[in-house]
Amino acid sequence: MVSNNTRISRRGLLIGGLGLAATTTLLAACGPTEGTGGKPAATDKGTEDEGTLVVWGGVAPEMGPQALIDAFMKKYPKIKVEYVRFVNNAEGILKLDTALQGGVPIDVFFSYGTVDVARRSAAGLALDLTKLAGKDDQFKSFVQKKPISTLVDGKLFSIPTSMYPNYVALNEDALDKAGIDVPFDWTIDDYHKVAKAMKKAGFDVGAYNAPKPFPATLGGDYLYKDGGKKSNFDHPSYEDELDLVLAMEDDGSIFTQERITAEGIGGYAQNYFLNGTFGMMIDGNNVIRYAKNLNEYPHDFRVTFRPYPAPRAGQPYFNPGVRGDDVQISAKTQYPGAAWTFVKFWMGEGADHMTTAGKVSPDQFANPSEKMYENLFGPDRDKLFDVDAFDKTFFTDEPPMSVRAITTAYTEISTLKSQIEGEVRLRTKSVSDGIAELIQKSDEAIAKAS
Amino acid sequence: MTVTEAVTTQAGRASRSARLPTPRRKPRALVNGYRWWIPWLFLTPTIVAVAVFLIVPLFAGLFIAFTDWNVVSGIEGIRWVGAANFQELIGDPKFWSSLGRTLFYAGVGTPLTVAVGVALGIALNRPMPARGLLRAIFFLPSLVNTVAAGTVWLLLLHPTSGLVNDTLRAIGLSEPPKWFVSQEWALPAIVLMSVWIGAGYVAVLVIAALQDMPEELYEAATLDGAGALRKFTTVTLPGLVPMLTFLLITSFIGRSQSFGLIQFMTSGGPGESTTVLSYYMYEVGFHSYRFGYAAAIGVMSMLGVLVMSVALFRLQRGRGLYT
Repeated sequence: MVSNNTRISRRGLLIGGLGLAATTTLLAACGPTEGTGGKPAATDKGTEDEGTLVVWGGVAPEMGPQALIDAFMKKYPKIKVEYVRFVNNAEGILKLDTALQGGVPIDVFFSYGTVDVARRSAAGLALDLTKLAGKDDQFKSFVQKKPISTLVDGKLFSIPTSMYPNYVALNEDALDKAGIDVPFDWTIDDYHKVAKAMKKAGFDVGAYNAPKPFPATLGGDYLYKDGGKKSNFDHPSYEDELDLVLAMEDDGSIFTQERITAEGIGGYAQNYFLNGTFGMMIDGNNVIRYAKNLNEYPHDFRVTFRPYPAPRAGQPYFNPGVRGDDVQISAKTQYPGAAWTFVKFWMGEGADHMTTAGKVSPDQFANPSEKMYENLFGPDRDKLFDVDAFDKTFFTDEPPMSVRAITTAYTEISTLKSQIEGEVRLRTKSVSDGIAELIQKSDEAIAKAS
Repeated sequence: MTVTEAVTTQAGRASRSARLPTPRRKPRALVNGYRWWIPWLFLTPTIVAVAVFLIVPLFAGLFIAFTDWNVVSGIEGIRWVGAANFQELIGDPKFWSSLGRTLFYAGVGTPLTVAVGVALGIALNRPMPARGLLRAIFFLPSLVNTVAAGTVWLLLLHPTSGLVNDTLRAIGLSEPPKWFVSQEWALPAIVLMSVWIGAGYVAVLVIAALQDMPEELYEAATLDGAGALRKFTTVTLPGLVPMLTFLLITSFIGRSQSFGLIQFMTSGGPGESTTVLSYYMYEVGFHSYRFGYAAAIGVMSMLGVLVMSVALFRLQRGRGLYT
């Protein structure tokens, strides 16, 4: 009985395998052919005040988008808006891409990061907004000669809806108790000293993470040189960065990579900050979103803020944070006029609704409102946050935020960087070997992508 | 009314049957008294489902492996590249190192899981107190959610405060492995965890196979003077061969495609130490958007699994009790 079954199955498998191999060979025998790229044209079935929009975004509707949309539909009753949330991870990003490409009705969508913006724009999935922005005072700044956000082939396909400078959030009560004074014009060395002092004051480790002199010295395209033809890991600031991380791990200023990996701390650093395991962390407005939520993150200390520390005192540098959460209008939308009205509303009068999720739009950055403060910090604003320090840290143009323009093999290089840095931090690879390997593999990835 | 209909139907069947032997009709026109298309009609939903969810994706995947498709370029942006993806694979060191790790994971994990499962199955097949409860306890890990199981294992194998390393230190091992944090031990740790998850399932199937084994064979072996070991090697093991073949093949295939466990536990790290083929394929496809290259990895992986499955079938041939 069993042997009969076996014989039949084996034969089936062999035939299947041979068939597959034969098909593979046949397909392989055919040479390469050139495909054609397609770019659908946009037509407007509605007007600037009339239409039906489907908006795909990564923020949960209850964190602001739904309130914003309700307010929008109240102001523009002839524009119907439906919000679809996608999770901003690899699977969610691919889901949006396949939906955009496959003809799912999407009029407005959000792209989180330069790589996604560049990919979707280059594939013709988004409308060119250059002319529209150039004619509109609200958006003129995005098409000025010196770019402040992502441009693809010199054109504006996306508009950043959120200012996300990096800064340092600190446990103010602990600083006061230990008598640690932290200046606003501080350096990376100062940061290290404060972290050591925090450790001495009784924290498990002083800080969650080390500052990054590499992007802070070079700005958004720090990974590249020669206009993106080569990787830039032989820049001295990268070696400084790795040396600093190892030194801070060694003296207990930050978590070791071993502990981060073993405990899966990566995505939950705020838990450790708010439960008092360490005294400071480099982040953006996300930290405020968690710190104001006393139900899930109970704590009794105030959070104060300091700017991203400078690599060297008195020298200009960059804030590694970016203008992000880019909004794009689908090239296939049937209501481009209504979509543009919606984008303007999201960036302007509707933006206060999004500050609940920690988002501050460029408009709000220029003219912060009381409503914005209320939504950003919640009802326990003065009890939980040093708002004056936040104002001095956040609402400043210096150091300038980073702007990324080059995306050649960006994902591959980021993955390699993360893997090799992990090995260096685990002490299974020396700094020099890690850098050499990173240069070699990144240059290969760039050559392949070019 | 009902009676009339019934009579008509019966009469109809009778007259159809009566027409059966007429020489004008082809002998294959009816199958078991039904028209030839009736069985096909009932098979159609299954055939359509298999075609839509198995055959079409299989050949679509095969086709994509010969293109440089990146999803966002759409169907019209698909560019035929011939065997370029496969040529690139041959020179891609990460592909070969991922293949090596997959072979280690499947090649070590599969026999280990089956061996532990067989031992458990034989032990739990003997009469003992609370046997049902013990069987349930050992089967439980295969029902537990990967994330929940993974969290427990992260705590158990924590390098400094985990129960396993505390125990190892207590018995004199001053520097126990760092498990998921170590490039040398991360993959073995995942193998260990997968054995824990899978052994109970193997044990349950082995118990079922053992209970199906004819008692007379053991009686005959006893009369021939065979001891416990002899009975195991000449009766139990050959009797289990069909089940073991099934378990080895399905387990090997499952491990060759394993993704969720690695994604949750290590995300392919530290370094690349747990990047197996399926994870590499995910990285290439979902992160780098090189779906043609990812599909080529998938095709190679499938051919590898096919070859290994055939080899396992051939290996077991003639070794079973019933063959």
